[in-house]
Amino acid sequence: MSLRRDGAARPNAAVEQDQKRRFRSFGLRIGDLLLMAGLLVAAGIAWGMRSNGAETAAVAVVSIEGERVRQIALEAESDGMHTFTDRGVTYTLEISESRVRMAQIDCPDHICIKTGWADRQTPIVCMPNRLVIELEGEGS
Amino acid sequence: MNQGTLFRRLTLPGILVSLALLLSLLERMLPLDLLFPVPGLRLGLPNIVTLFALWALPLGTALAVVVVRCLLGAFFGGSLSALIFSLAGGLLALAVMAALLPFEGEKLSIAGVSVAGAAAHNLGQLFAARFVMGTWSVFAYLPFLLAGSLVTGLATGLAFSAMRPALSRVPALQPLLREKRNSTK
Repeated sequence: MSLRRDGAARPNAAVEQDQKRRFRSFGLRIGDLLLMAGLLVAAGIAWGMRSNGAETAAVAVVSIEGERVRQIALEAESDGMHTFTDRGVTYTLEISESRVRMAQIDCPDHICIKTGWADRQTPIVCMPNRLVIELEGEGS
Repeated sequence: MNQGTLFRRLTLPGILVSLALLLSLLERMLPLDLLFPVPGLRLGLPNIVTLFALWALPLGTALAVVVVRCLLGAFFGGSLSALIFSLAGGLLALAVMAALLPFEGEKLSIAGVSVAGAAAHNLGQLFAARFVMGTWSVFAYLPFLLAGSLVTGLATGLAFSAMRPALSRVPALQPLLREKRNSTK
């Protein structure tokens, strides 16, 4: 009798503990953690591979659908808002102290505006308009 | 066609497509880009539907659900480039999750499968962006997208694993799940 009760109790307790442990770890297993760690390492490597260059740039290159439509000499350009229309896309750039950011463009999410000032590592990308602004050359 | 065949080949995939479209509409209203203004970063709620399709339906039907969802999504409110983005992301995510799902068990949970799918989705989108934008510089966003897919993949994966016990008790799904179990054995 006591043997049978013992035999039944042990697996139940083990199952209960296992369920508790899984609940605490959101059911994550070792493979999930390894996969996520690998992904973080990959993100770190990708971060390290981002092109390093001078902080300042001489020209901002605007491309639409992979075609260079405009080159802006940042140091020669006056500070303030500049509105351009290229290939049917109208956009306003703010230029200040040789820096550039997207100020206005017609698209649903405005992520390119929220990106803020462009830097050498991070181009401004407007997916809906297939528009990219990259910085090139070295500023003085 | 008897009713069971009609349900699994037409009704259920149709419901899944409309559910995925609804979820992608819903996630456009979520201001995720206020927190992380990264081009292409989405919560990926339709991924929950893809996970369900892979779990309950044959691979071919799951593929059809993803392709029809992308086509209709572009048709209703997108453009040709939106179609390229969603197809590249959706198909790569489907392929990676279909490859990983058989390994789900003691060592790997559905959350890990979903994280890998989210990462594959973002990678596919970046390759599509490279061809649409014509510049490799879009890969500057890769670290943000990979780190982001960790969070979004975990969220959608945990959402599905929370729903799955209830879904696996739905009577109409029983023949499908039995079939799926037999085919993977």
